[in-house]
Amino acid sequence: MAKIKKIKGSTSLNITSMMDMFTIILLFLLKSFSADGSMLTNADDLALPNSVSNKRPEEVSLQLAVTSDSILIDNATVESTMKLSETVQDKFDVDTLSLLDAQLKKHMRAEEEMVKRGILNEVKGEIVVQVDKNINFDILYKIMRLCGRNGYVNMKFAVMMREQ
Amino acid sequence: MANKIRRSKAEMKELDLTSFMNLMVVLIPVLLASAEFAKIATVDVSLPQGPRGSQTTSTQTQKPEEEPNKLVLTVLLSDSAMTIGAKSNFLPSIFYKEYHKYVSKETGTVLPMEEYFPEKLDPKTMKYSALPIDPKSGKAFTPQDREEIYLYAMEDDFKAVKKGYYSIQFSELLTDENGAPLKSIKPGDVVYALTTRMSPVSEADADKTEDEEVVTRRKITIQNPADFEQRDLSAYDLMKSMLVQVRDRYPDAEDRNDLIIAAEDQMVYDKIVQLMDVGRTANLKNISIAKLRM
Repeated sequence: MAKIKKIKGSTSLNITSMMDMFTIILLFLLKSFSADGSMLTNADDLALPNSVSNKRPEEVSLQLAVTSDSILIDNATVESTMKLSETVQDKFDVDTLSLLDAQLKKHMRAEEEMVKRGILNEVKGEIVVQVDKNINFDILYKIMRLCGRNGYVNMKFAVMMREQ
Repeated sequence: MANKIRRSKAEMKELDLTSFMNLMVVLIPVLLASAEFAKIATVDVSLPQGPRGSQTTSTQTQKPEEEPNKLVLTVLLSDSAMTIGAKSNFLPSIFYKEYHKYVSKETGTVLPMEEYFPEKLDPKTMKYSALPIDPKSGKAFTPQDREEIYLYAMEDDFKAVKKGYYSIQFSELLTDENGAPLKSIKPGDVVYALTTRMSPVSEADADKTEDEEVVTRRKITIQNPADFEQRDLSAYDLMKSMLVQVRDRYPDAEDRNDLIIAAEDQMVYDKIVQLMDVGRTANLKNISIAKLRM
């Protein structure tokens, strides 16, 4: 009789250790949680360079990403990187880059429109540029030049923070 | 009696943790998804504001006209040398040899130090023909596997790598008063240590705003030479030391916080970012980028 009763009493699962574990995980995650979150999304084939910079990314309206095969504005492909590198410097201004150029112009116009309507105070011309670390300087230069021509003069290069 | 005790035991109910467990099950995935494991930062570069849509761009910089109170500090970067230019004069070039660290994304193999041969890079296709082979998979590494680029300063005859004394604890390069790396050290020497982000002063610097100057080097007295070791001299450290020297020599220059980085077409973006870091840690906060025409 007594034996059966004992078995009945031990039906509940002992979850104390699991609760301990959960509490630790929860505390760790809460600690690493940042309220502002990540402003930048990172593409798979985009390896950002490491840097000692500790400036946190601010909220910016426009994102430009340059991977080894395509150039993306706000996560939509606009141009292939190959095409940009093939572009001859002297002919650069003409129309080979019409797609990227047109997109930048469009976004700049949108920003100006917002200033006119009083949604923004001023045209800041800020752009976050995420460039793959294996991109050569030639492409970077052309991108910077295009951004500059379209009024995006405050460029922010996204980098990976080196761990301390 | 026995009956009574048993009943009281049965009445002692266990805490009902079901709702708490539900909460955990929801909270942990949410926090995991929002956790940042790799922290992203930004490096600001401002292009001079010109008339929009016009042909003048920042990057098309003409050689600045000589102004008495301007330093026009420039770093020229090519595939085997870095040169500092200031006041339209050039300092002796730093010749460097390049080593790459590869980490395979597929097999996890790490090659910590592979020499890089700039002449094996096809300038047209940007294909590097001497990528190392991964011993685990038998396939060559891809350029995406390149984790870090190290540049080591070479002697002028380009035969041997220069050596410098580094502190083991903080990886600080020891230099003399004029910023030249030391050839030997002994107890009692008063030397200058080029600060790194491990340096004890860097913690105070981390709270400083953009405009405040950071400490670029600190004076130390060598007590125990065993705290220091001779390592291959990093070209970036040598560059920083030279930049600090040049900047200190012209305390009145109007543009003493400016640095122009001029690079050749086939230079990898990573190196430019590293150079910008060198500039920023040498208090040259306004960095512009120019193109080196060949």
